[in-house]
Amino acid sequence: MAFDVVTDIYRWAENGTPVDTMDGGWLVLGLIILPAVLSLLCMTFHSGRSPRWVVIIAVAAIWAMVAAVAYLMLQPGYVQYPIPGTLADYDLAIFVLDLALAVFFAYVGWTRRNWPIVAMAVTIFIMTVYLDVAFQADQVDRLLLDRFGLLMLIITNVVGGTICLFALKYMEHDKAKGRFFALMLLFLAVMNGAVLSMELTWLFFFWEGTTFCSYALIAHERTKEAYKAADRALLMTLFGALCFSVAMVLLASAKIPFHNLMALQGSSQYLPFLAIPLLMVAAFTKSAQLPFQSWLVGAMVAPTPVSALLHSATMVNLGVYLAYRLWPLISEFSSLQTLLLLVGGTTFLASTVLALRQSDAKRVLAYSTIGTLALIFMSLGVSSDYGPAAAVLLLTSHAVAKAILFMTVGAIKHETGSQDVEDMEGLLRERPFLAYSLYLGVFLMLLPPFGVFAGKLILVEALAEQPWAAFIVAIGFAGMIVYYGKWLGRTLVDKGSPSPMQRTSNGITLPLGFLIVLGISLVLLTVPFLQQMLQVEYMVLLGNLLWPPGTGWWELPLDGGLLPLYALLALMALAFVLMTRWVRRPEQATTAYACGEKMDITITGQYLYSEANETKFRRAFEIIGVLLVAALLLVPYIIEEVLA
Amino acid sequence: MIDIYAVVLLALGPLLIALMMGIDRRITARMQNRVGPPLLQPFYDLAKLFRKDPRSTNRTQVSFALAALALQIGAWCVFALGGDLLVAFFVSGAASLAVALGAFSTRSAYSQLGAQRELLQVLAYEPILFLAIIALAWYNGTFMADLQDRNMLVILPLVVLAFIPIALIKMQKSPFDLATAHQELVSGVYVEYSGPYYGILKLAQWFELALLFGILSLFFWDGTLWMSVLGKLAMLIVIYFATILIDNSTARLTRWDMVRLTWTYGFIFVGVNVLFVFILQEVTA
Repeated sequence: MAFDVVTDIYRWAENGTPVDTMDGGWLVLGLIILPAVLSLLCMTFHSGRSPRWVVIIAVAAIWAMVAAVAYLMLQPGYVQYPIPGTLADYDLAIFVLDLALAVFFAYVGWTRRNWPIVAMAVTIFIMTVYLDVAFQADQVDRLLLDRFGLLMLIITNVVGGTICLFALKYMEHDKAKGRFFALMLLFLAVMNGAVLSMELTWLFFFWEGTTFCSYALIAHERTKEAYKAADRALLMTLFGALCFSVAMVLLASAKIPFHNLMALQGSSQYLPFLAIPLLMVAAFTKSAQLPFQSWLVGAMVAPTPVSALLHSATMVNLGVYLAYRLWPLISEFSSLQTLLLLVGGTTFLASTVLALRQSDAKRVLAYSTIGTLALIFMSLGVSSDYGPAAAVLLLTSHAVAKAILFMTVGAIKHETGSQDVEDMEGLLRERPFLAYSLYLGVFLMLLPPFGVFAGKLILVEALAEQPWAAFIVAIGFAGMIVYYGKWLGRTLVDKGSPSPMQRTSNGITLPLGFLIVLGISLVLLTVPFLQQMLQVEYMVLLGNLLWPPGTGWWELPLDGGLLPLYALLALMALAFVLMTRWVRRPEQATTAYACGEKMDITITGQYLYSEANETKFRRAFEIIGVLLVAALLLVPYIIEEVLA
Repeated sequence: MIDIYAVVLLALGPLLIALMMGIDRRITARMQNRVGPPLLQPFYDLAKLFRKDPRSTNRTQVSFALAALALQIGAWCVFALGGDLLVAFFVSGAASLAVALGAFSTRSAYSQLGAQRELLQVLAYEPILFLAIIALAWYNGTFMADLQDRNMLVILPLVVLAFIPIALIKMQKSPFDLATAHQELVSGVYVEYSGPYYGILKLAQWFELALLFGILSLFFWDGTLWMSVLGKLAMLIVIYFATILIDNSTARLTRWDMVRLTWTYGFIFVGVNVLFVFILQEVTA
């Protein structure tokens, strides 16, 4: 079979038929099929044998394919590639796999005696059957690639692939390497499928696929603790899937086509309208927003490459991805926007407050991820057209920065056996490479003018029109400086009795080094990158012009402001050069003065409040989260339709 | 013309701050029945620090002192050249982080405690300063420093008052001089710095305060340039005098009282003011 890619959207739009086509569709499809097939191959590696070469070949192949697709896609004028052909014939396969997944989840719930999971899995099963029997699927293309999809593909495969390579070293002593890498590759495959699906049933299947992979990877260690965390993750993400399938039934019964949700605009009934809030709740579960944040924090028991994959390349990005696709609809209803700002703002505040109490580095990072995703949701809730730009910038920079941070923490754990912030004393002297990659990761998350900061700034300046939301996030921004500052502070100080410098092995430095180069080049190319991704005339589900035309390459326009991007970068570079020149001058180092007191002190971090209070705060935030989700399902309809 | 003003402002800002510090020391001395040092003492101090031999406990410490200075100068440049207020604010915040990290890098009890308190101070004042800038930009519709030309003193008077605790923290004055408390922490974050490196941090503080008072000065504007400048100066002097008065009449608070006090005071003042203006706008519209 041949799948063609339409390369000339304009002529296609004018004449109604594709004019210029090229044989490139297999490339895009290959991004789903190849990792899935190689994943099966990994399963054949038993009893501790490492599928090393399978993984390396898989990563090299998906990188080559992504590069080729990006090259085709970024030609001027080309905006989207529908992948037509006979894919609709495979609806049956998707249907069967959907049912199989539901049965699997029900079985997991049964063996774990977790009845909510069983109940939800059975409901999903019934609704999937009902959808298939009662409604006729539209005859449209099932897969489609546009620029945002391309961006997601690049993030998933480049960052995710690097994490797989890193895992080769990290998991070297694991007993079930075959299963582990099979799941990692399968995760990339289903994630690629999810961002390529333009039709809800297909998206739902791949969505469930990520639920499966995350469950199996979190439970990988097969300890009691791992199963507990995996159950929690499954429970919450299945709830999201339930919301998703209810939304699909509602949409289908209102005859809204699954490939064009914009048709909802004209609908004034409650039930189809309810589909948007339901899909938003599904997005919140994937992206671990309040009140569903606990599964992502619990998932920290999994091996570090899994955390890295969940946090930067796959799982959590999918929720944000769905919200981004819904953005044109959300931006039509100011009540939905307001609730998105509220959920995002509260989650951001909660993540910072709770992160201040954590001493496990992975938990600090988990809360930081939850917070950054909350900022992305907020970006999609601001009433400014700059919102999506902030979301794209936050998403991309966060993916790279968080992958660097998780891999660094993983490497520290691998080398020293501890991932506690308090045990990282003297890191700068003992393992300078890991220390510098940690600093770079944190700076990418925190400091001006790096990517996450730039996205944050676009968001905040857009918030000036809704200053009430600024009151919610104000403490969060300061808190971020505090919890990252505390951590860095511990790594800077030498130990009381310093150990000699250690070399970090190449299996760790090479993947990390690659991501560091990627992170820095992303910062240098912020504006051209945004122009490529956003300055297009037409996107699927998106009608607005997202990036002001004619912006200079040297500065980042904001709502009512300007970020002198390159001036600040030059300042940073100058500071760096000055630092290295100055401090390398030979001079006599003195011992600390410390007012003449003794030097053998024990340094401990400051955690601002007690553990009992942490539980109290978390519960309070979760209750607020539940209330906000309830409000999300009811209030927008009342405001938009009943009162209007 | 504007550019010349900007360049003059660029150079003048930190110098004015140093001069104000000289006056501050004189007034404080008079309040305590002393004569006090010459007006230009801050300049003499700095000159003397830079003439001393460089001594440091490690290289990291010096790097962060330099980073703090570079970032504060950068933040001040963004402001003085009419740039984005929030950018200046965040760059200056990064410099505060650098000061804390510099102090963290030395194995000294006082330095470590000072660094943790420095971070806590950031937690206390940053949200309020952030909200004050948001309030200003919300009313004026822009974050650019050179486009702020409204008399906000009458519209956002409570926001101006919210600057007092921020100024107290940033000027290391009682009751909020936690990070550099000289009696208990032997000047905390600064304890392990000496000579030119200490001078670098002093200089960074001049730029930091220049930015803070620069943002505060945006709240006053009156038709003509000269009247505006005079009015701005008068407002700054009143706020500065208020901080000196508070400094000399209060004792140091604990860490938690500092956070609690600045947050409640700041959030209520900025919040009430913004809400009031919002309601007023809705009523008149």
